[in-house]
Order: sequence, then C-alpha cells, then structure tokens
Amino acid sequence: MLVGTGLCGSGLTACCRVAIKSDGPCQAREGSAQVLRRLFFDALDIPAREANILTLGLGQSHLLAWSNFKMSNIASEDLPSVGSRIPLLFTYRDTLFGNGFVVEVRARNGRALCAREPDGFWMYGVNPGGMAAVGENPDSAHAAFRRTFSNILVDLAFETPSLEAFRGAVQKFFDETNDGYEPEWLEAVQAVRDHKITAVGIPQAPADSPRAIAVTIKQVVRVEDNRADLEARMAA
Amino acid sequence: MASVVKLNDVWAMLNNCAAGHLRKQSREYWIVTYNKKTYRSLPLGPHGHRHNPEIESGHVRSLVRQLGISSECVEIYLDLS
Repeated sequence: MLVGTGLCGSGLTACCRVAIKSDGPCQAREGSAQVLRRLFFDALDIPAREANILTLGLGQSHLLAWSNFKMSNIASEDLPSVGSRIPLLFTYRDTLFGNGFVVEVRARNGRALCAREPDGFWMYGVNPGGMAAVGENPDSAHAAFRRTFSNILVDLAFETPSLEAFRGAVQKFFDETNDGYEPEWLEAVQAVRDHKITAVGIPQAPADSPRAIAVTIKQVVRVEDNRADLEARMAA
Repeated sequence: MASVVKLNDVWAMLNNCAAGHLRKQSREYWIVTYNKKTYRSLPLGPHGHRHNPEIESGHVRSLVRQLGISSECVEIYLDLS
C-alpha cells in the first residue's frame, strides 16, 4: 500500500523523491535531507517495508545520475553484533559527462563488505577497493556508498582528457582489490553458505558472479537513462 | 556516531608509515596513492571547517588496508578502534 510520497531538495545540487510502501503506519513527509534521513529511520521500523528512493544529482560536476535505490531489506537486526559482516555484490549504472562525451558506466557485481563496527555501519569496497562509506544503519551506509561511487566517477572524468583515458581510469579503479578486506569478504561468503549469516529478503547470487565494468558512449539519451540499475545481493 | 581522527594525524601516519605516498585533492575527497594502489574517498571535511578536520576512522581503516600499510606502524600514530 502506498502511504506516502514526498519531495525534498537543497539548492541546485540535489533533489530527491521518495515513495514508501508499507503495511505499517507511515506518514508522508517533506523537507530537508535531515527529514529524508529521519524518514529512512522510520522506514526501518516498518514491519513489512518496501521503499524506493530516487535521487537526482545535477550540479557543477555535470553529473547526471539517477539512482533507483531499492531498500535492500538489510535491517539493523540482521547485523546484531559488532563485528558482523555481510558480503554484497552490487550493480550500478551512471550516466555522466566527460570532456567531449556523454557516457554510461555500468558496473556489475562489484564487491563490498557491509560491516557493523563500534562506530557505525560501514560499507567497505573490495572491488573497487579504494572507497568506503558509513551510515547509521545498513541502508544509509549503502546509500552513502552509492553516492561515493558516483562522485568518484565524476572525479575520474575531471582527471582524464579523453574517453579512452577515462575508460582506462574507470577500469583501474574498479579492478583494484582491497587486499585487506577481501579475506573478510570471503569469510563472510563462507558464513552465508554455512547459514551462519541470514539476512531476510536479500536476494543471493553466486559469489563468483562475473565482475565487469563497461564505459559506453551515449549516442542517444532517453528518459530511461534517468533510472540507474541499482541492486545489492548477498554473495553466496 | 562514527569515531574520528584528525586529518593532520592521518598525514603524520602516512608520512611515517607510507613514505613516498602521493596525495591530491579532488572535488570532494583526498586521493592517496601508495604501493600502486589508490584510496579515493578520504573526506575533505565539512565545508568551511577544513583546517585539520576530523575524519571518520573507517575511511582510514579502509585506506590502510587498501594501500597495504603496516597496521603495527599505524597503531603508533592513530587509534582506529
């Protein structure tokens, strides 16, 4: 049952639209990013929740990226204790402007470790290994990780003078493995296989699902490009 | 609330534990390269408060592991717990 939709934004650089589906009580809210975060937390308390969060970033970075972020059903209670780990595979798509080109970047089966640390929920990149993000719950950590991924792609666009240079930089970024966290990711995969980790509602995928990143020229821009593929699955 | 460390302490750690590292500033992050690996999401700090800002420790934990820096050396300069 759709119980609430809202719009919020902060100046020219960001706006977002939220739709919450729930069997439980929920109120439509509008306002700032703080209110949006508050809404996320409320959503976590909804017994049978399903939320789609659409965000649009269009600022001085020339980033054009819609994220269709389906809440992953990773609830705080799925990571009950400090030290808990969930191995994730993620698929993202970004459309962005480079120097003289518009490209789509599609990352498939990137690897990340969702960890409950004493200081919050962290998403540590394994591939790409050179990034991390934090949140007050698994969903906000994932959302922050997603934004960071897009921001880094824009950084790479700024750093590179040509499409080929950009493509090479993106490939290098994605291929770099965090050798420090990879063993923990693999241990967590084994724990999933041994049924020691269960996260209700998170679809599973083989841990060795083929990992790839592709940078393709956008010849025609369509309205569908506003929807980024975004999913997180538990590696098993 | 994430635990934090001072950015200047991170630089001190890198200067002593990752000699020869390179760092540069992008739009939103510090980018640190060492051992042919790069960490790209070390925060600059909040807007307007970028003189020795506080950095969430998890970024440094991830940076240390990504760049292959000795944890024993890191512990001399930073408390990342």
